[in-house]
Parts: sequence; C-alpha cells; structure tokens
Amino acid sequence: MTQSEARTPLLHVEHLKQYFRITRKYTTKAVDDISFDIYPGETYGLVGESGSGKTTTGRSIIRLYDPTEGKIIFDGHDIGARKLSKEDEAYLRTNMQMIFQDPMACLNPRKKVKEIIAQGLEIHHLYKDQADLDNKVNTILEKVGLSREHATRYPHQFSGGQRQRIGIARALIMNPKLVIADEAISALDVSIQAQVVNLMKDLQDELGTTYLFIAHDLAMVKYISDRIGVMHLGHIVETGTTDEIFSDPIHPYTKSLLSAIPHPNPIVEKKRVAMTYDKDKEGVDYTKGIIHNVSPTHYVLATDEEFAKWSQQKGY
Amino acid sequence: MSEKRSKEDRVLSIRDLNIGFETASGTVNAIRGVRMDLFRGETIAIVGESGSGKSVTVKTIMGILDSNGHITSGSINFTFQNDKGERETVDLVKMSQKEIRYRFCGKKIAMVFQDPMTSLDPTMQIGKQIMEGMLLHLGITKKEAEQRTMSLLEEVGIDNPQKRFHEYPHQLSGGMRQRVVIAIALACDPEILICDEPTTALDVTIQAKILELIKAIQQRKNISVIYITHDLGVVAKVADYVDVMYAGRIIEKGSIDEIFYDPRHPYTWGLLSSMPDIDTNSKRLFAIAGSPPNLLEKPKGDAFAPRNPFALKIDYEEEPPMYNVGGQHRVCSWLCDPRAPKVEMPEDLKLRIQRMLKEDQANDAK
Amino acid sequence: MTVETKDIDFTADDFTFAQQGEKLIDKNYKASSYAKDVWANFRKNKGAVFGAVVIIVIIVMAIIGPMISGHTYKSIIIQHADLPPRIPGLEKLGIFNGVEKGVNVYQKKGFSDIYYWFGTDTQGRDLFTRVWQGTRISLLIALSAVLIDIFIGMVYGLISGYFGGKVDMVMQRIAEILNGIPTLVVVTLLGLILPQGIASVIFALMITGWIGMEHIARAQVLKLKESEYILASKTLGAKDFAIIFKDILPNIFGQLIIMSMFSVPNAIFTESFLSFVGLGIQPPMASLGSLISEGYKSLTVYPYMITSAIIVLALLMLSFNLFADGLRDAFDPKMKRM
Repeated sequence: MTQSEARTPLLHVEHLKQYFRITRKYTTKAVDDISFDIYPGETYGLVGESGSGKTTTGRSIIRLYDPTEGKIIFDGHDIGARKLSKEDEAYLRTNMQMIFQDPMACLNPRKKVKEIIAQGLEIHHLYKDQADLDNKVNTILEKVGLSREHATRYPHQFSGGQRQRIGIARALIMNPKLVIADEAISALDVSIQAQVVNLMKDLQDELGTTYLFIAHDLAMVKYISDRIGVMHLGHIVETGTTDEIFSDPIHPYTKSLLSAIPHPNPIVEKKRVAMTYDKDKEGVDYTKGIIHNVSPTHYVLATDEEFAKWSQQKGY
Repeated sequence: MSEKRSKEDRVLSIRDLNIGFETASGTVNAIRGVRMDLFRGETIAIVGESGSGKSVTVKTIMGILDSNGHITSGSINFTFQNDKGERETVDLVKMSQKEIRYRFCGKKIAMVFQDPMTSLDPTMQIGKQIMEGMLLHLGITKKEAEQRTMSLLEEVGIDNPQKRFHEYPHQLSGGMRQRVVIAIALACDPEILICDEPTTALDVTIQAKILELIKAIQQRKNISVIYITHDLGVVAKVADYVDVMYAGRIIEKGSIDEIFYDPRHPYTWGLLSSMPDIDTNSKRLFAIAGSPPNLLEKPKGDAFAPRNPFALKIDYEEEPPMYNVGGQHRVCSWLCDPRAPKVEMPEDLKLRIQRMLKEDQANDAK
Repeated sequence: MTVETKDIDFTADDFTFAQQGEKLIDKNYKASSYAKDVWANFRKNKGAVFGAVVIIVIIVMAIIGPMISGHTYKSIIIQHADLPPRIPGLEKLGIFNGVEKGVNVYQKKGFSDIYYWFGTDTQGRDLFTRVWQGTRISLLIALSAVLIDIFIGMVYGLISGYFGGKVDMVMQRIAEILNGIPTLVVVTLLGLILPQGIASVIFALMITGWIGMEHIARAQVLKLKESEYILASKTLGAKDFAIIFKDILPNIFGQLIIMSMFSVPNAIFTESFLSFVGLGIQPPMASLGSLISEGYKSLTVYPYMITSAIIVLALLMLSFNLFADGLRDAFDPKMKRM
C-alpha cells in the first residue's frame, strides 16, 4: 500500500456513466463506466482525443449534466445523486470550480472583469462589504499576473492568454478544494500555454488546490500531473503515475498517444514515423476488458489475453 | 539542406512589406517591413504568436486580405510558369486583391486552412468540391476532371475513392476532411502551397499523418510550401527554413538547424524553452512573460523590449537592424552588435540542445 | 556583420541592460472602440440617417402640430367644408394657394383671412391638426408595440428557450395557437366587449403581436445557452432566473430592440388597416388610418383629403424600416464586409 492509497480521496468516482439520448433508437454513450480517485493536493491528468468523453466526465462531475448512473463522492458529500440536497449543492458550488477551454467564449462580453471575477462571491455572499469584495478581486488579479486597472475593463480588450487568466481568477477566488481545468490551455498559443501552466502550478503550491486537468496534449500533461488517466471512447484504458505512463505504457492506445508527441528536435523529428492504433482492426472491445494491475497505482483495461500480449511489447 | 539557393529557383520574393488596417480607433500597423524568400521545392515555416502578423502576410499573397487592410509599401515578386510555359514574374503588390484571386488563387497558389469542417461546403459532395477548381481553371472536360479527382483522392491517402467521391463532409472523420482539403488545394497543380495551422484542429494521432502526407506530396511534385504555425513540433518535422515573426516583423530567420540548435534572439529562446520536454523532469516551464503589444501605437524601438529580460537601453530607442550571423542565419537584435554585452542562451535551453544533438547520435548507434 | 547603423548616434550606455531581473507585470489591454465603431457604421448608412431624421421630425410635428395650427381636430364648421390646402407664404409661389380646378375656393367663399394648411375634410375639420393628431395615435401604437414585444414577447421567448424540454414544448404550442387566430377576428370580438377605439387595437396587439419577437428571443437564447460563460455561471451556483436576466439578456437585448423596431411599421399599418375597415378609431378621433378611410370616400373629387395622411403614414413606415436596418447593420458589421 503506497502512501496515496492510505489517504481518503478528495474525489471518488465509481462506475460513472453518462449517456445522451439522441433519438428513440440511438443513445450516445459518452462516458461508459469509468472509476477513478483524486487525492487532495495532487493533479490528475485526464487525457484523450476528441470523442473520448473526457470533457463530458468533467461536466458530469461538476453537475452541468445529470449523470445517468454511478457514484460521485466529493469530500464526503454525495454529489452523484439524482436530486442534490441543498447542503450538498451549496458545498459543490463553492468548493468545486471549473476553468473552460475557449478564452473567447468563457467570459460574459457584457460584464466588466471585476463583476465576472466576483460573481461567485456575490452569489454566495462570501464577503463583508464592498471594500472587502474589491480587495479580494484586486488580490486575485495580482496573483494571476494582471493589474488592478484591468478590473474595470471588458473582456474583448484582452488577449487570449489574459482572458484565460481572468477565468482562472474567477475560479480561484472561491478558494475551491477541486478545480476542473477542461482543456484550459488547448486554445492558447504554445508560449502562452507555458505561462498559464506555470500559474496554475504556483497557485497550487500556494493554496493547496487539487486539479483535474483535462487535456489532449500529453507533453503539457506530463509537466503538471502527478497521475494520469488515458481515456478512449468513453473508457479509461490505462491509469498510473506520470512516471509509469511515460516510461512503461502497456495499452496500445497510450503508446500511440505518446508516439504522437512531437519532439522539438529536427534531426529526430524528421525521421520519426508515428505509431498508429486502430481499435477495430485490433479487435479490442472495451466492454469486455477488466482491470489488470501492473502495480498498485498502474491499471490497464484489457482482457487477459490482450494484457498478456501487450505486456510483452515494450517501447513505442 | 544549407546549400546556397540559386536565384533561378526563387519562387517568391517579399521585400519591405508594410501592411496597415483601418479601424475606428486608428491604423493598426500589422506588418512592419517583412523580407522573405521562397525557393522551389523547399518548406518555410513562419512561426509566431497570435497577432504576430503571420496570417496577414500569406493572406496578401492569396489575395484574401481583409477589405480594411491595405499595403502601404513593399513588393511581392512571384515567379511562376505561365500558360505559354515560360517563367514569368509579377509584383503582387501592384495587382488588386481581386486580380490576384482571379489569376492565381487556387491555380498557382493554393491554401489549406485550419478548420476542415468550415473549409468544406457541407451541402456538396466532396468529389464535386475537388472538381470545382479544376473545371474552372484548367478548362478540361468533366470526365477528365473526374479521373484526376480519383487519382488525387488516392494520392492523399483516402481509401475507397469510388465510394468517398459521392460522400458529404459530415460523413468523414476530421483527418479525412483535412485530406480532402489538401486534395482541393492540389487540384490545379499549384506552385506554392500555403498551410495555415493545418493540424491544430485535428487529433494528436492524426496530426503526424497529415504532416507526413504533405511532405510526401511536396517531394513528389517539387512544390514550395509555406507553413504558418505556433507549434515548434510541427516546425521541427516539416521545415527547411524558419522565419520567426513578432509584432509584424521577422526577428530571426535561418535554416532549421541554425534556428533550433543555435538560436540567437531572446524571443526564439523563449519559444524554444516554453515547449515542454518529455525527456527531463524539470519542475518549471520557462515562459515569456506578458503579452504581445497593441499595434495601434507605433512601437518606439524594439517591439519585444518590454518582455525581453535581456533588453538593452538602445532597445527602447531604436529598432534593431538585421544582423548576419553566418550561413543563412539573420537576427534582428541589438545583442548581435559587437558593442553589446555577451549574452548566452538560458542554461536549461543550452543543456536541452546539447542533449538533442546527442540524441540523434544515440539513435543512429541503435 | 553588415549593418546600416551609421546614421544613429549611439551614447555610451546604450548597450547596457535596461531591466535585468525585474519582474514584468502585464499591463496590456486594447482601448475600447465598440461604441465608436457602431456610431461610425451607422453614420455611413445614408438611408439609416435619413430614417432617423425623419422619425425625429415626425415626432416633433406630432407633438407641436396640433398646438400651432390654431384649430382643433374635432371642431366642425360646415361652412369650411371641402377647402383645399392653403399655406400663407407658399401661396405666392403658386402652390398651396387654395386653388382647385382653377378656382380659388377661399376667395370664392369669402375666406381671404382663413388658412387651412392641409385643407379641411367634408365636415370642415382642419386636416393639418387631424393628421398630426392621428400621427400621435400611430406613434402611441408604435410605442405599445415595442413595449408589448419586450415585456411579453421577449420574456416569453427567454423562458421558453432557456428551460427547454416540456416547458418549451407547451409554451410553443400555446404561441402557435394564438398565432393562428387572425387579428381581424380578435379585434372584432374585442370590439364587442371593449369600447371602440384604440383600446381594442392595443389589446389585439397584446394577444398576438408579440409572437414574432418571441421566436427571435427564443432562437437567441438557444444560441447562447451552451456558451461557456453561461456554463460558468451555473458552476458558480447562479439561479436560473438570475442567469436569464443578468447573463443572457444583456447580450441579446440590443438585437431584440432592433427586431422590435421592425415590428413597428407592421403595428402602425395594422392599426391603420383596422381603422380603415372601421374597427379601430372612430370619429371624431383621428388616426392616420381613419383619415385615409374618410378621405377615400372623396378620393376622385377632393384628392387632397387623403394625400397628407398617406404621405405621413408612408414616411413613418419607411423611416422605421430604414432606421432599424441601419441599426442592425451598424451592430453587426461582419455581415457586410465580404
């Protein structure tokens, strides 16, 4: 039992399913039975491509959607139930926050920056008076690297990176226990991504926030995550610590993701050919797979034969 | 690929290009003195953040510059094979945008845009979309166009072209749509292919495949390719030459080896350092502080100075000229002046470059 | 090192570091030019400016017209019936001089000092006053239409669109049923219970006049419902009605006001039509429609009785259309630039 196992998870997700009914005959199974835990103070990276269900997972946890099935326990509160109690709802809304993907769309164009940032505090009356509110807004603005004058401006006056920082300020002013970053850096230039990721790490060091970092860029995820879960078509196919995933990936999908990471080294990159993985060609059915342990923290979703075969193939 | 490129093979020659946009708040000087060369069969990557002006430059070449933009000075000399089969050179600046579109767009110069979903007509079969340009520009019969389309579909790696010809964009995956967009671009055998962030909207596992496809086509047809991107991984894979743009100017240019293994401009250091490196366990990503400047005001001195930890006092007074630091490597920074203090690239970056150079030797040894 | 630096005067410390080790604070932001852009776009549109000017002129005339004419709208002076227009000053130019078929009617009847600027109707009432009095009614209708659009239509569409599902389905079916009832039938039925006149017209508008706006509001809400900033408000714990009125409404209000401007010509015309048919305004009250109705009877004999009302009505409708068009283009310049 490693140290992480002995602690209680901050977020416990068990057999989560999120289905969307499109027509009477067809239901999309965006998230199809996933389970994972996130421990306090760590960053869990949930990685996958488009259609993997990672964004849906984040939105189900924060109750933007009502989960079809499954258990979600957040800091002892059951937030997976059909109807939330008033107490659980208030706890969820003040202690779990989300940072969104599109910096151009995540801020209300008609509101000033300080109204946007202070929205959460105002809804839940978490301030003493106007001066206290202004003070809190200014403090968080400086923490995210913007200046006080920005508080009275409108979102369209800022660049993408600056807007994303305003989004972070809006989430973190509530001092939440868990922040879900839903592709928070995907829409930014690479050089700005580094800024935002550094900021998130600094804030985590200072405030002890836990992150669920949803992304499709494994290289960035490596920087910020302690543990990683790889999602494909609604299932978590592999999960482990960052080290384990990068040095000893088992599932072929994980390997294909890793091999797709470009190296900023022209000599190597020009010669490299990426590995492909076609689920149907390989005959893999995720619903038949069961959890196999490679180590106490490293799991793979596979049938017994698949697991035996894939464990033999080292490297990508 | 650092042989001297011969003048006969020059396809595009941009000199002192200045472009401004009229807005209600004044003129935005989006491009401030750009100088660029493109030769036959080679790939140039234009790298920069959003707002650096990389898209504006190529839009002008294509003739699709926004209506409130105008070229205030400069020349764009385009050398191409005309209908008689001879090499002809025209100055695109002297032509109207409409004329450029009429004569060259789709025919001699083609573009692949970022989002394949919005680049394709959702109500038209993809085969017809590929044929559209051919019938318009090449004056061939419908049957000939169909045959060419089939072979194009095969060339871009779409399986079962007979069936796919009649399909609609929404029936294809993102990667396949981008392949169709590439086929449309290649339909009339262009001399220049411009790719504006062609893989940003695609899944990570497809990106490499699309880049490999474009590279294969380029080698086969000996066309010149311009890539617009902010992703240095893409650049490393495809480019022969790199132009780094900041605030409407090219601040460093050179061959790919010169830029990646011997960068000289602090901005380039910043770009290279901010790429996460999966081979180290370093805890901190280097990031360039601040954001790109507002181009409504003409910057005094070097536009990058406020974000430059190595800025000199002269950076706030005068704009640096282009210094020749050897080979094809040009740098626009006062740090290259003999009077400037010797500044080395950050330690992390130096170690990383040393490691990268050894990596290839290690790979060869395997 | 080929460099053209000969023409720059270098000082001794030019090549020293400017800000080594300092922490860079990001103070960038763009100046706001949205309002300036909109105003500039609007001014460029000649039709829109024309429309705006005409609306202002008509409103001013509607207010002061009846006051400056020296007559009232309902005083019947039979001796003054059927007089053509006569305006002091202009009569010297040969127009508006009280001449009809070559005969100066005022002279003939011995009214050398009496002026009726637009002439009189068959009962001797001053048309100038009646036209502007009628314009007041039309403008009142216009105002009611906009208010009804906003308070009933917008709110209905916002709620229906935001909540979706069963709520939306029921509300849309109700709206469809209401929309199917012809306005004429509604007004006739209302005319049986309510006193004749403007009340029944406004009531009719209240029942069905807002449905167009409701559809547009609902469409706008559906467009914005899944926006990330709305989702952000939800994750912060905002209540549904707070989201509708504080987050969504400010973002669509401009568009909706413009849309309601487009419904003004229709409302004015509806009232005119109803009054023309005899269901709306009754004499001695005047509205542009009832004036046209009265003047219609004498169209071939005394055409001037109808022309002034028609011109004012047409100008009013045209300028609202132009103004609303111009506003819409000013706010949405992206559509034009291609």
